[in-house]
Amino acid sequence: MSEKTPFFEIRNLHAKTEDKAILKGVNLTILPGETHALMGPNGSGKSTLSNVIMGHPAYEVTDGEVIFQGQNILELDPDARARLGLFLAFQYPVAIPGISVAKFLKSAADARFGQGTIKPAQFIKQLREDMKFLEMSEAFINRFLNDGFSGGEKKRMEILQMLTLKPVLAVMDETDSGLDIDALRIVSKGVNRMVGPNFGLLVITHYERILRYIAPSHLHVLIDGQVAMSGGPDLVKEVEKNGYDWIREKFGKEVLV
Amino acid sequence: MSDTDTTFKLETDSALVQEYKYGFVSDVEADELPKGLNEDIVRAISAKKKEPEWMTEWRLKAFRRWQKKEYPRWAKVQYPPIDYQDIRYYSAPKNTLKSGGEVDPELAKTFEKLGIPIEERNHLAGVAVDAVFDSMSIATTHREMLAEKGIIFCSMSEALQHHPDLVRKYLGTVVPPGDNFYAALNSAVFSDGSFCFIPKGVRCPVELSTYFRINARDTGQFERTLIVAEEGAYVSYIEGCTAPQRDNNQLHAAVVELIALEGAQIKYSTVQNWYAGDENGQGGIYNFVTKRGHCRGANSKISWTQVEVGAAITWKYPSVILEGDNSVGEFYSVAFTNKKMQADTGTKMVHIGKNTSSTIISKGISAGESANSYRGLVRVLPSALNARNHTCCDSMLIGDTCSANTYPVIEAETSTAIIEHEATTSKISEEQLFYVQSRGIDEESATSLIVNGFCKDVFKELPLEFSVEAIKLLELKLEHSVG
Amino acid sequence: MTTAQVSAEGAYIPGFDESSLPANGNQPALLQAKRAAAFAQYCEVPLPSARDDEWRRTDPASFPFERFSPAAPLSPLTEAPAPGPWDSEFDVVVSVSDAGFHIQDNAGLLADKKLVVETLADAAVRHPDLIERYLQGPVRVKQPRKFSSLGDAFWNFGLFIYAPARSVFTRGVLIRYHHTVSGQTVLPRLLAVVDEQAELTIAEYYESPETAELLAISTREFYAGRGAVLRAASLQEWGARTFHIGEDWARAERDARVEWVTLLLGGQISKMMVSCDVCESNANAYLSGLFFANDNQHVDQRTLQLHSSANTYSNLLYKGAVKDRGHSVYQGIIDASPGAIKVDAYQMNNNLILSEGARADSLPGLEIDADDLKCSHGATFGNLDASQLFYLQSRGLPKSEARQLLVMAFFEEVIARIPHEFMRERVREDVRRKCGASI
Repeated sequence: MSEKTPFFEIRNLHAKTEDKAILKGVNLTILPGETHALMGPNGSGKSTLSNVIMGHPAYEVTDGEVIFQGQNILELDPDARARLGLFLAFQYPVAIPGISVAKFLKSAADARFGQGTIKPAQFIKQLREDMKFLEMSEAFINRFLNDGFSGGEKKRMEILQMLTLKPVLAVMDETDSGLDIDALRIVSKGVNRMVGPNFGLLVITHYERILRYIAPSHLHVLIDGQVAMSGGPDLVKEVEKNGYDWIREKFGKEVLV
Repeated sequence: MSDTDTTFKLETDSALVQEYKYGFVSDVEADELPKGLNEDIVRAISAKKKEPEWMTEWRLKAFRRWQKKEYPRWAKVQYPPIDYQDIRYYSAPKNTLKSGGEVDPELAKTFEKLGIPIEERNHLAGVAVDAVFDSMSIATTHREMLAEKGIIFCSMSEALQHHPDLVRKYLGTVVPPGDNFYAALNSAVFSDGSFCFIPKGVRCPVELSTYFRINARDTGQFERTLIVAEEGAYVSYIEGCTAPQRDNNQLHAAVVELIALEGAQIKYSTVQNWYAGDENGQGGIYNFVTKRGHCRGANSKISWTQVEVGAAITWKYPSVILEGDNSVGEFYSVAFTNKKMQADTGTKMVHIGKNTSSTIISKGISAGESANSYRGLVRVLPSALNARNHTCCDSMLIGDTCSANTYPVIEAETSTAIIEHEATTSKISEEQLFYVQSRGIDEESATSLIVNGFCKDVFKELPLEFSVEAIKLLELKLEHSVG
Repeated sequence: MTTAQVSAEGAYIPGFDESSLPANGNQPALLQAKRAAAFAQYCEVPLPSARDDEWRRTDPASFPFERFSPAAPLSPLTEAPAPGPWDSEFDVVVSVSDAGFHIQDNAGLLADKKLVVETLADAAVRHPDLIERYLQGPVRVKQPRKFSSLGDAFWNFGLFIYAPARSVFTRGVLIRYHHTVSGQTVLPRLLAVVDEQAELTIAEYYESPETAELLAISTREFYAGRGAVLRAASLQEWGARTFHIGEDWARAERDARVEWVTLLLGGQISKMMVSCDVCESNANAYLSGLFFANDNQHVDQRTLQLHSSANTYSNLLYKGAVKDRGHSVYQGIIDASPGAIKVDAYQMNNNLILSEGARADSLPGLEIDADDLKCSHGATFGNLDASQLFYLQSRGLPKSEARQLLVMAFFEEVIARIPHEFMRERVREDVRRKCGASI
């Protein structure tokens, strides 16, 4: 573990919303090339954690830091975090009628890579390829963002954005919830294209299913705003051998359903 | 549905002889002032009430303001000019008490018939009643129990004699004497009404209730109600009204002021069933009322719930001034008009404090040849950061000779506010009627069921027993309004 | 209405009395008569005042009438003016400026008499029956109004557009108004008739320099005959010191369809009224509006969806934004006349309040005198949606850019109803510019 410039590290993170403390000292470190799975029962703070990482204004950080690319990003606006290469795949992506997918993606790509860096023709070509890869109809390009999309379409749109914006660290907030097996396969295919030595991934999930598609190198269990158990490849190996039942038994059946 | 399909056509033009069961007249000897209005009459009313000097002056000032004011013409109601010199401004039963302190049996009988027992042995459990007969409060029940908690619940006349400082501190601070034409008139000549004072931290254990009865001919009723809830106090207040069936119009111009200090809550419920006139529009009460609440302290709450099923003309906009931060205003209304009734009613929510929120639910039902208008104002001042309002006004038309109008005004002066207003007007749903009838329920009952469903969001805000009464009353009113 | 108390002199808007009426000798008798009738009506209608419901939020006294004098009637330009960037998109282009007007017949339709675009003076001679029937005609459904009558009596440039029965013009007519002379009142007048089963698109564009102080009083009448389709879009981009009072009327007959977009972006104070009568069975009206008041702009719009007949439909969507010290007023009425059953009418007014100090008022009204129908309205107020903003920011868009994008998204639903792409693009640019960097 490089101690000089941590790639992504959450240190003693405390956060609250509307006077209710939710995160009560979360610690978690991700290095490039690692895929971490974060599990936990409903209400344990998983979604809060992903929102706080991205800088959602509804949550107030009361203590701790989130270090990314060598700096504490908690003072940064969400857009500055995104431009640093942080990406959140939302559990519930909002619809924005009036903004087309193409317009939105181009604006976001320009923000991430700099205005004029990508030529429009090149951009559209890449977008078409990515959409084909994610088995999406090209008609989506001209539709309004997430407007009238099915749950599966919204999740694929999140992955399309990830492929377009090429983050170095992505947080997936229950991206697998509500997906059928086919959609799960496609989403996983997209995520696995990102995975590599320079990419870190945090997969927040409620289901062990997705972990068969996106193989984690590390596992964490979040209980009541704190990481109750954490382990690396050894733990993962144990899980591979013995399954998840013992985790369920140890932390309650809600940790994984 | 084709034009020739008349299966569901609702006919309202058949003779609508609808019984008004409260239309009887009581034979009570009255102590009256002559008809007409001038400074002497104002002084005479004040003298009859044995009021302090400052009150007489207050009334005279209001009278002078009234003389300079014009009656409001903006409402969508039509009536011939009122001759204010042809109205009697004071009429009170001469003998309210028999020797021995018992209430005069004729009066007691009157209220008994109205379902309001005022004799101690018949008291309604859970409700304290102030019964007002024309210009005078007859009796107030449950007084001792209330007094133990420091709650003052008495007629306005008594309050002026026994608690003049409290009255003086609050009277006219929400509805100033010159607020509008009818409020000025009321301030000059008001005869009685109720005064409620709930001291700091006290939760009033029973519903407080006033029952207004107009009996005498050619007499106006001008009652004044003042409710003050101190810090953290709670009170639920119920108002009911009836009048005899007479063929000329009678004027009812009341003023109600509610004051909620920090953390206080006032819930004010009305079922208004004044005589509405006959099918030709002959007779009935002109119900010109100014009702306003002031959320003066932070975290206070004022809720108005009204079920308006009577009166020839209703002109009434129970409002809330949301001054305290985080204060809440609510207005729930059912207004039913039939025959030639006219209603122009709604509310005003004025957001001044931060994080104030208001909810408006208005259900208008028009039948016969009536006109039913919702008129509302939601005003969000620049200081009202994060103010919220949600308004929903639905109108239902039963028959093709009535009208339904909606006139909301919304003024937003801060970018932090979120305001949503929605309104619909439609005929009673044929699909619903058909569905209910297909289960063997006759058209009249089916209509009643559907109308009740339409009004459900308002009825559920009424105190439970009152809610049952209101539903029954609306059912009764709906009878014969269906073909 | 009481008129007895109003003396004739008291009823004049400054600058508009008998002496300022266009000289009779210069115009056909038919127009003289129409102007005279309008003038009589103008005198009769009392002056609007801030006490009137309609003018309560835009005091008539805020229009400095006394600083303006009526512009002289316009004559044809001797030379074609410089072409505008959009001219080639249209069959006919009418350019109107202080120097005069010009009618450009791009597709030879006028020469072939397939479409009529001519001045009211010419029309009164060539098509007297149509002028007699339609000018100040049945579209005027409610009581006479001060500024409609004023426009009828005093207009200084009148245009007549007529699409004969069963003719179809999807490219249609562009009318460009470009006024630069301070101190004058311009009074454009338009009468457009789309006859049975015909189809026509009309676009109007108003502009003046930022520094020009002028007043426009416009009156327009649109008729869509049986089965006709009329598309109209007007883009008002007046400079910051131009005042505008506009009263527009439309009428859709059986099976007709009116699509009407009003885009209010410029001007200092604008007081506009749009009335559409869906007067016969199966007539449809789609009324759309976009307004954006920033700096010290004041925009007041009144709409009337009149359902004077059964089985008629109307759908209204007005979206506005206010910013800085801008103030917008929307007053809308759905009026269903007695007997107007099977009516489906909808009215929606959405308001964005983008900064403190700005103000938006909405008065969405329903006046329903028939029973078997469905009418609804809604109004919303608020700033941009916080979760949408977060979503955009989480994708790297800086806050101001994200906000601007959301403002664009807010308006897109109305923009999509504009018939021409170049005008849609122009409006997007205007909105972007008005958002500014500080949003």
